[in-house]
Amino acid sequence: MLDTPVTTVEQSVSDAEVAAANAQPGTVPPKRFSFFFWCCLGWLGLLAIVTIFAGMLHLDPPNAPYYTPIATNAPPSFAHWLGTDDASRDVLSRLVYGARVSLVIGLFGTAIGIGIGGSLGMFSAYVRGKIDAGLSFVMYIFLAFPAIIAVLCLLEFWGHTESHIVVILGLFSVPFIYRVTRAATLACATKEYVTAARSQGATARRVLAKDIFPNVIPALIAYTVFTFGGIITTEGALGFLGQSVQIPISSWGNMIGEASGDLNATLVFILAPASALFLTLVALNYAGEQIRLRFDTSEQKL
Amino acid sequence: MSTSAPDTAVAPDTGTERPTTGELLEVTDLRTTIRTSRGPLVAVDGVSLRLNRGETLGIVGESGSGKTVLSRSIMGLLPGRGTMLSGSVRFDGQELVGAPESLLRSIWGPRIAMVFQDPMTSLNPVHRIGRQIAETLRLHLKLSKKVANQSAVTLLAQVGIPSPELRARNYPIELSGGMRQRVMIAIALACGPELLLADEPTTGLDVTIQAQILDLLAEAQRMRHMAMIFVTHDLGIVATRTDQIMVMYAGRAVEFAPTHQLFANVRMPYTEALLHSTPRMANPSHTRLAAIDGRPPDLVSRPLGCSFAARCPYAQDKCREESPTLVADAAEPDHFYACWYPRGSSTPVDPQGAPSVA
Amino acid sequence: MSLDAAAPLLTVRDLHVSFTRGGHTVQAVSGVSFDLFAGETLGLVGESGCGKSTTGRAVARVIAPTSGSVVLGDIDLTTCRPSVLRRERTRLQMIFQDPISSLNPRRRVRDIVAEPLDIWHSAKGQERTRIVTEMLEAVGLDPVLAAPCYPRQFSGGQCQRISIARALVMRPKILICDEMVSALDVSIQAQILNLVEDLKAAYGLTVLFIAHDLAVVKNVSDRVAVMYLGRLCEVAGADELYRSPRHHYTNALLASAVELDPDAPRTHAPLQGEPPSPLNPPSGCRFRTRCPRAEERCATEVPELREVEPGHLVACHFPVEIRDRAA
Repeated sequence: MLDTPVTTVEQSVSDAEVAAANAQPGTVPPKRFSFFFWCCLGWLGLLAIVTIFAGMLHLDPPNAPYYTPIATNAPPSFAHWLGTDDASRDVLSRLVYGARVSLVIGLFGTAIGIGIGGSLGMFSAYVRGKIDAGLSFVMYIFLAFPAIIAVLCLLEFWGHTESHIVVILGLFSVPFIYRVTRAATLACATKEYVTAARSQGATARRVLAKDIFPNVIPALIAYTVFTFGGIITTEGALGFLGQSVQIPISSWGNMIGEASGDLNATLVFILAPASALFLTLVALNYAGEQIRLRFDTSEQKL
Repeated sequence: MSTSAPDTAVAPDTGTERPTTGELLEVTDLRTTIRTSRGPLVAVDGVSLRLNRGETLGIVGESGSGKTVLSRSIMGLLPGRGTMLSGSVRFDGQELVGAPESLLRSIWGPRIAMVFQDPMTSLNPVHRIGRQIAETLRLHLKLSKKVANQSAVTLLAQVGIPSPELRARNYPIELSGGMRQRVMIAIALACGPELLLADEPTTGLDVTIQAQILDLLAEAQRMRHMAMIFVTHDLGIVATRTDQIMVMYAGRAVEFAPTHQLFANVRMPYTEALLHSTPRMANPSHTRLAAIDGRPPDLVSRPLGCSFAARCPYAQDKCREESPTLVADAAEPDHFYACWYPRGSSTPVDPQGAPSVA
Repeated sequence: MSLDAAAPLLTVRDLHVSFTRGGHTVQAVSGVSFDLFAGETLGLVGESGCGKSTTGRAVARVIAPTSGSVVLGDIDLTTCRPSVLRRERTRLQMIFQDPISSLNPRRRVRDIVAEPLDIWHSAKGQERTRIVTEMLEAVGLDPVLAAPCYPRQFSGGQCQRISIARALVMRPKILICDEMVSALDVSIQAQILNLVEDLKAAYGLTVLFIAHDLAVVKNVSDRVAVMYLGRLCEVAGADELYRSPRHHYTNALLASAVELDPDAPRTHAPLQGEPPSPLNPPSGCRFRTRCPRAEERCATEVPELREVEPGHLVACHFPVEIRDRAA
């Protein structure tokens, strides 16, 4: 008699599943993403579009001042949607170009972190032994280091340009990603389908590519999003201290920093970058968490 | 299995007098519904049973039969959110369904206790085991810390753990599976309960250790005139150690009889199929087992009619349309089954398709 | 069943496997030797910690033995070159205990079953699909419905069938089943055991069946080997072993097992206490601390497997006499 697979609708529920449902009442995983999730994605999407196509938005150049007394610290008006700052620069355009800086630093920094940390983590967990021990040791030293202080010193020596910030923040996110990837890989590597693949003569490279990598990706995606948010926050902090990209180039951080030091600044001048930063981080963290829940839970259903 | 037990007994731990005969537990039409992501799941669908003091009931079923949920429902140990309990559970006259939490908590421990399946997850890994036993003693019997600790050591000795004073200071992870299960039993027996619910207590243990644990439970039961409900998937365990057996399938009780009668006169085709598909040591090697085709049904969307109809070799049209109720056998009034065409009855039915026996 | 008197298909000699963890060395397998003859099912039974799973994995070369030899045909798997070993792997396949974690959750069933074909580039395109279809049918799954699905859509028994299909794709000579039905319900267990019997006949397999359930092992095996704490205690034909065990541990094991008969007499557990820790096994015969018949000689001299009757090997200085046997 030929057996048919149980589709998800007819899936028979075992005592274990019932017990699992019992154990976590209320944390039933979302079948579809909530409206708020799509709002978050919408905000992020809007941000992405606006920063990519900033040049086409006919904004005033963010760094060129007007030097007209009326236009300094002006409240929002039709000409300048968010007003101007104390050097007569359009706040909205500074916001948009500042977004570009923050996002670029976040994106490439994360790419470095995931690229280096992810591959080292997977390699380390698969190989085990002395290499794993040594690499983990180095990474934990890194993690124990007070990162912000190191970053400040390095930037001081090396210079406050965007590319330097990208590299440094990227490198400092490597240990965190390494640890997470290593843990996820260890969990996979002990599963029996890896043993089965090896017992069929698969080479280590094939096992890594076909069996381990696809199963580590979901965890990695979630942590990518969190790292992205973390780097943006760190950049914001650096900017607040004036240690990020230097004025007149704007980033959200240094806009907040500028505004907080200036008594004549209008409320909008502080609220604009702060809100933008806040909304972006909420969106990233919430979306990341929902994605994580969605992907991790479907694995747990096994 | 109490033969000539006295009418009353002194509970060894609390010193109070308790009757040793009479009805202890009466469950009527118990229904447990659990909210899952796919809709409400009726895990236990109208189960009724009776248990007298000192007796042993074996509840047998495979995974998905609802036996674990049944034992938790009897005790009332289900999380409040997402589960609905209806029906009646009368423990010594006291209604437990819908009872306030405070009443239940006063019963759990001194009067009803449970031994769980996986001692590693049921014992708190960060507390020493002596403390975990003493905790329940102090909570329910109001013993002082010193007396409770001493009693804990005594209990460990009673459950057969060597060097109990040393062991009391161990953490659960330092003990083997068999030892941990003995600790679980010690915690359960600590306050001298009248009813012990053992939920797969020997699953995962070695056969030799299992034999020791089963002996221990039987001895404890005999000494304390305790009633026991033994939930398991292994018919072999309950064959020699129970007074009655209830077979569960898809959340319902499909057969319920005194042990001997169940094995001697199997009525429900599922029970018969279960017996035939279990390998026995008495069989010669390479005996072809009569496997049951198919899988247990989905409890969220139940099929109409008998839950076993899809897999039953004797199924008729009536079986697929109407769900059979639990009825008493004409010849043996203690023997209940839920089948339109029971095995061994006066109206035998030829199998539509014989079970897959070579 | 009369055994093939020809040379055995697989010869294991003096297999030792030890693990070192944080300074402690655990001798999981200490000197196990047995033969596996073509077409038979050898059951390997023992309790947890006896080393039977480790033996299975060492034979399949999933883990490396510390010493000893595993000779398949005329190639010693423990000393051959890695490229030779890799090629020989297809002749020995394993089925594992946990059906769910044996399958990659992110791959479809048809890719999982075809994995060995992809690794060895044995078949492509239509041929590959044909083989996958054939294997899925052979294990009792509907290929049209099953092939595009993911493992999470299947039950435990079905996942085990998929594992078997994957294992048989390369037509191995030997199938090592490591507690293959232990995680399954009784009714599903029977289905899978029947399936293995059928496939064994259809594909001419030799099976090493590792399990802790005595009844299951008896049912599928021609010969049975009993292990205790890393060593073999007894090897005999299945019926013979269960009828007249000669090792005291086997005796106790059989007496502890539950029987499906309500009229069976209830005896007390024959073995008290816990097995000794594998970190510090007893000298001489490892069972002597719990053996009713232990004497001084048992502590000083390690008993070797010797033949007490034709085809019946026991590692005991004072094997059970016929009259001592438990009923």
